[in-house]
Amino acid sequence: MEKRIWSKPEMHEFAFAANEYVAACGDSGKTYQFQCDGESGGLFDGGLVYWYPDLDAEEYRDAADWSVEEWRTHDAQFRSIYTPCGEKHEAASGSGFYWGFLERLLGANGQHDEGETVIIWRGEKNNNTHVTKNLHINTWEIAKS
Amino acid sequence: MNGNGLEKRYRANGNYVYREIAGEGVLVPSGDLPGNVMVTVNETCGFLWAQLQEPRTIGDLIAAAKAAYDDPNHELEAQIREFVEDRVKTGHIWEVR
Repeated sequence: MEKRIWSKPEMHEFAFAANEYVAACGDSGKTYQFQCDGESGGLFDGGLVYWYPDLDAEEYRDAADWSVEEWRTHDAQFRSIYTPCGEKHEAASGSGFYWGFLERLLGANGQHDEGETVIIWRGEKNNNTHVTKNLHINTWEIAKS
Repeated sequence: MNGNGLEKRYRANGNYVYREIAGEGVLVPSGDLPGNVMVTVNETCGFLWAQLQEPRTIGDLIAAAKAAYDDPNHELEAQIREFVEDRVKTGHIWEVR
């Protein structure tokens, strides 16, 4: 096996910044009870959250019933680490929900873990990551309408 | 103990999980570590991190790195020693008994 050239080992820490994108869905004027319930059963509750910034409005509407193959036609981007808080949050329809998937962390050094489709809510200040596995927004509990 | 630290053994902090995201090595915090901070690592750091999944001496790390890498500038040993020393201080690597 051919040897590689040694270079200095380096680590760099970085913190997540607030999301720059807003892609709202749900019925205008409603406030939902967003149940943050994305437990994964992996190494720890939660995992890595990816999202799909390139979906158009029609795709957003239909995505709840997509197959895995349909999801794979779109590019997912890494969003953040996620740990479920288990709380219900009052989430206004215009505050930004996003399609994404939650990747479980099953092994200390594996790279191909399981994932499942989720809806992400970025919180009131659009700087957090809450996740629900309930993909049908019209079944979410309504807090205000 | 010969005074140069070769007998000490080290391992990676088990609260970090290594992943490749978009082709880049990343240490994802779990457990009690802050969840909004991640650590990117370069290729040689990822190599050392993989070695450190089991307790290793600095001598073990140097031997493994020499087997995998050419070191034309003869800086591998010093940089591994510095890496381990620095990362023990930051808590990314644990000294084990």
